[in-house]
Amino acid sequence: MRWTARVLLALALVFLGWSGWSLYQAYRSPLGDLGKDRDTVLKVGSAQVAALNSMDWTRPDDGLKRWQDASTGPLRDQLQREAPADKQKIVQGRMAADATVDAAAVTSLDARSGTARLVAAVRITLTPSAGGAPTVQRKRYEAGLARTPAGWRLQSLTVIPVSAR
Amino acid sequence: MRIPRLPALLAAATIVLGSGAAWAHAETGKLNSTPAARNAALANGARTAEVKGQISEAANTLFSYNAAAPTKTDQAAKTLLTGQAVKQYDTMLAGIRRDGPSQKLVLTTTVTDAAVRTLQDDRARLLLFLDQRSASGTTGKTTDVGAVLAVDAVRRNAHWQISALDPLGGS
Repeated sequence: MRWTARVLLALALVFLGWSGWSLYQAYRSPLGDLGKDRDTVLKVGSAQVAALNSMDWTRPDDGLKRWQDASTGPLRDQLQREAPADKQKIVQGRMAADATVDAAAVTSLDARSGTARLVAAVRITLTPSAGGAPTVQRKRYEAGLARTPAGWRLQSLTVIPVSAR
Repeated sequence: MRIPRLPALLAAATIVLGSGAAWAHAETGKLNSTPAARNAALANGARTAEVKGQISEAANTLFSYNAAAPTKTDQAAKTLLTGQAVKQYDTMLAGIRRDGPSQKLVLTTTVTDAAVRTLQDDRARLLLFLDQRSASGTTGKTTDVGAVLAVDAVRRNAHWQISALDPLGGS
């Protein structure tokens, strides 16, 4: 009887050791962390690519503010520099642009340096204020993201052209 | 009544340790089964690169066509496609197969970007950006278009096959 009890105790100890170890592994697993970062980059990055392709010409300042909020580093600097010219273009264009990301995926992610890249297929509906029929434009983008204290932000956004070979 | 001390202690310790272990085990299961942890895209670098490479190559082959040797594309389709992708592919290529011979068409497709959205065991979802050039031998005209393709893939015998094709419109 005492012998059985000791065996049971030993088994419980082994089970605890093993499950404790696997729990520790799961907690500090870089794979789980990478997965979480990847999903965040995809979600945040897609929304930011859409934001940078959307504009309501009647409220250019709001739109330009959203562009600023979605970007960091070189892209933000460029947007800031070109904001006055962009605003003029937006107001003169009298066009509402509404962008949707049809599909996107993260192509690379470096958690240590806090950088990532994603590709996105974007559909932009352009509605002229004059009342003409809306037109649909499709664009393919490659975006670079950087982790900032406020979260992931776009630091580059490039249209992937059809290569003229 | 006097309960023997040692057996009681052992029994208590067994129950405490056992419950602790069971809790840790359940917790581990929860951590490893979150959607983020189940999706191995990028997290499993080798497998991500493998499916990306094989499916890009498959798309290059499947969407390239030469009126002078149309059976080459048909042969490739037999090994590279499975399930509903077979029918979807036939629909996508119907126009080229119909007009190809009379216009002496040569279609060349290059996957310029590929990314793995999800990867779970032997199944994957990818996003492909393709450049397609079609040249007509009769008119001498060439056109370049960009396309986007969402692809489902399954792994069989260490080879990835396309199981679904979803064109997302070009640019």
